[in-house]
Amino acid sequence: MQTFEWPIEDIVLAHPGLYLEHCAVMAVALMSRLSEAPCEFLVECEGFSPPDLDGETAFALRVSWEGPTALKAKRVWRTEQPKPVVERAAVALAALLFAHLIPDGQLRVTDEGDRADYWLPRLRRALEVSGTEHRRELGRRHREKTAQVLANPRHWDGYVVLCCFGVAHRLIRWSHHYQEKPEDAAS
Amino acid sequence: MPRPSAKQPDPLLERVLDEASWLLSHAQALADYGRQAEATAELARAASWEEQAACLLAADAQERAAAIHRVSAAACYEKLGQYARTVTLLGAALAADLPDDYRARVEAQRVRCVARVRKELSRVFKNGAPKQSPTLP
Repeated sequence: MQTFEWPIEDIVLAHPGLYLEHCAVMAVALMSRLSEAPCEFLVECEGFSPPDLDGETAFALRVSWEGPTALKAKRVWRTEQPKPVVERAAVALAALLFAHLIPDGQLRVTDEGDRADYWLPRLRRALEVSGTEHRRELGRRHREKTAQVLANPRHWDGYVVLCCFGVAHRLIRWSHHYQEKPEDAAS
Repeated sequence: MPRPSAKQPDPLLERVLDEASWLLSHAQALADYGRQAEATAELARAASWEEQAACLLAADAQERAAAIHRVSAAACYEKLGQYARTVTLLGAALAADLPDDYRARVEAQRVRCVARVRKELSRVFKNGAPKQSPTLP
């Protein structure tokens, strides 16, 4: 199994269409509770394999961070509730994966009122991201996010990135989903 | 595996879309940190860029994409309490060909915002008809 190690700060320059500094800080706030840097995740791909993996569908992701980010992260828990921190941290890890493993994987966001919709415009893909601290939630959350990503108004195919920041399980489930074709729908 | 779009992107449109997206995510970050006044200002800027993105997309006959950015602008204006402007944008978005479930969500948002406009106007007229512009948000 391959291992990749990248600094979380990479996401800032990789996605010019998003402000991601605070997501990086929140990711470090969460990861630094789980381990020393780098924080390691098992990434499981479903429905696709990134080009650098040569057909493999799992790899280890080690996420490192720099001193200034760690300093900002220390202040996060004084003002933030866990849920927004987990969600923003998941966005940061998703942004890191797309920055390094998917060519033309730059992200953008639109506002849907009660939630943000992420897009990969160059690839014509939608993206749903979510995070949890409990592995038992992964299955249900994955089904919800898969349905959401396929309900995108552009009718694009889509990715789902689900991050589990568990004390015992640090896992990322990264899946790709195709829209049902009209002829499939009829059958 | 994913493949890029065959059509060459318009550089101006790409910059506008990046700007709108960056401002939306920045507004979200400011709100996360409880900096509401700054978040509101950034949201207003994001809404304006989203409208301009929608304008360019519509001019390029990308009606569905234009509608999505109008809805995004409308979501910003709704958060800013500018309900009349929200309704106008949602009406323009609904003129496009949209998937049924998305159309239903946009229509529900429009109904909600029309109710807010009526409520605000009722409040304005409560003490007699004003002889000046309504002080709606």
